[in-house]
Amino acid sequence: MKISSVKSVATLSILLALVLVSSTSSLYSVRAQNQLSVSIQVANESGYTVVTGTVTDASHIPVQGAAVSVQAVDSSGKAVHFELVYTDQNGAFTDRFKTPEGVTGEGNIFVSASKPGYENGVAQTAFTAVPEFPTAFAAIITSISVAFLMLRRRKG
Amino acid sequence: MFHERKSNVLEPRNPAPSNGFSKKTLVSVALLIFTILMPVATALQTHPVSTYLQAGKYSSIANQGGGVNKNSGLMLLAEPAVVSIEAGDKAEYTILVSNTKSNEGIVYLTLGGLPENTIGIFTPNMGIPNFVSRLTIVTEDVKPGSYELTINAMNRKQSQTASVALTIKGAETTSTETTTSTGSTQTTTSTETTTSTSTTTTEDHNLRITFSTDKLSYETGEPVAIEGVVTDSSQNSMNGASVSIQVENPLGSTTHIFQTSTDVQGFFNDTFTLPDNAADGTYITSISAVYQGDSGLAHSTFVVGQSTTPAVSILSLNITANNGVPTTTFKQGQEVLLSVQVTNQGADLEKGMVWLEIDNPLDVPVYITLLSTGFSHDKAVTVEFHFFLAENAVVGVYSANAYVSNGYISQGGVFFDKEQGQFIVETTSTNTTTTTTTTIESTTTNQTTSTTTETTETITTTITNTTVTTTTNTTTTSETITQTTSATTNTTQTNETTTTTSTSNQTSLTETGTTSGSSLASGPIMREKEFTWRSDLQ
Repeated sequence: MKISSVKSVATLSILLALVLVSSTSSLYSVRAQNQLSVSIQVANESGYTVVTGTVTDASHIPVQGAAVSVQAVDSSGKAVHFELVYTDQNGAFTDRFKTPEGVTGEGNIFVSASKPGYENGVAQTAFTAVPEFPTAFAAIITSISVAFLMLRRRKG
Repeated sequence: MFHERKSNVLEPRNPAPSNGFSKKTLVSVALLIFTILMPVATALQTHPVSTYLQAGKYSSIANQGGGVNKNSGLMLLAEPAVVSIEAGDKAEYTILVSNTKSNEGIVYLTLGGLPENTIGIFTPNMGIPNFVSRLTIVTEDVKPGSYELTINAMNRKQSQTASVALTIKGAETTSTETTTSTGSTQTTTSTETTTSTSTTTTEDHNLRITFSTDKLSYETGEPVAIEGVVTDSSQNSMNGASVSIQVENPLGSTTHIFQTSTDVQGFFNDTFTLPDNAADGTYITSISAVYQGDSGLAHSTFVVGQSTTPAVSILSLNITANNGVPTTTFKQGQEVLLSVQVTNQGADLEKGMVWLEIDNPLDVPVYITLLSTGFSHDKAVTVEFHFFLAENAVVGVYSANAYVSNGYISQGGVFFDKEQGQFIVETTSTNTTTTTTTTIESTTTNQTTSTTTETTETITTTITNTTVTTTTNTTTTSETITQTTSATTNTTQTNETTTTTSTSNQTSLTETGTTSGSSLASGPIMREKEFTWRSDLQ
């Protein structure tokens, strides 16, 4: 009698454990399936910092129409740019920006991707600010260059 | 730069049968009706559209079939009929939009007939009638001659068109004979309109989509009406653009797909019914448009039932002078007032953020600021940003981008919505073409009245001076707000609810006896009927 009860309890426990394990793993797979992943790359093009990237789900399938929030901060953590873009049919997005005058050195770009039915995905990367010369400074440099060239032509 | 006034009454392209009245009489009647209905409609409107009126000054009138048609309430007036400028100068027109029917929702403005190397900017480019918009045409190397510009105003039920002339002076200049107008009524349905929301997104796209849903929140089984316009970046309406509409529910499933194309005025619309078992929550409407290789993309949200998550969106971004008058053109050193109206149809958001970035014509940010505040369910909040242009500010077209988020993106927050605006900066020596200013009425909307206390913090970066100024502010606000701003210029502004006085670099909000001070070179100001203001230096 006692042995059979112990056996029954043990069988029930194993069954319960199996059920729990299977339900947990299925929950996990649902959650994982809904988790967005963001990959980003940064490049400098013609004075612009260009952020490109892709948003995918857990199965690496591109997610179209995901909202991608971008915030760039300078080396001291101050916001120097922000933008909201959306992914295309390939899950790709692009944001290009200039940094304010006087911002130099390395900063960080933070990206959050969101879409109803999915858990947000985040990514971060460093970037080097493309120096934006003040207009007056650019004019002075140009003037000096022109004067220098003219002098050289005269001497020549 | 000067104006030429011409015979001003616009003729309908399909004139109505003669009814024995002269054009002058019809115009007078139209203006009289407009003047009577303006305050009524303004009182009824739910959006804080800044409104002013100068009766009897408008010269281009368009409405359905000419004269005043009682079946078609939409009226469009443009002034002046003709503007003559040199190439490189700018021309300004004042557009007056009215609608005797108060339930027809947002009216969109688009432009046609712009010559090459010109940009047209409507400020604002949409609104709930009655409202006034300023159209500014910025020209560059334009061939001399006369150009007929077509101004389109449309809502989901009808549309109106008015024409004005732009003369670019030069050897080939010829005079413009007439300005004409016509109107056409679109489908008539009996949908009741309460409030609307709209979004425009154009980042890295050539086409601009502006659209709205007829309401901000719905119940299951209700019809959802979507309408909008497609223009190019110069506000030229795009005829025949392919438009794709997709609505996704809170679970990420597509609940509605529709393909259509724009009509001759760039307008499109779509209506679908929410299923009876539609999931509660925030729905996203995504609209893409394609036209001859150019594309555009825009998004907006609405709520079905009760949303357990915040559904925050920007209702409007208004750019005005410091006295609140809608303005497109500013001079170096002048103050620009940017008002962002935000609403939340979802769950309360304790710590939301309003962000503003202003880029100069070289795409360089000259002003970046953000303000942290709470957004309660079904409440509208207006945040004002005062931006002072540098004395040597780059001349040209500036873009202003406002965003709302649920926190710092660097801390995992996301932007809910974005709204764009443009304004022009010119040198202090340049003359303006048109100046029309009258009474300004500015409104702050509270969709539900409740007594709440909200916390706000402000972080402002003024890049023009390469200084970061941050402040602490504590203010309690109710119906009347008194604000003191410090700057180099002294300005005094008074309207129904707000008083602004500028003395030197300080900003403070005063309300019902409680005062607080701050020191923001260009600082944001939040207005709501009942709230507490606090801003912390960082």
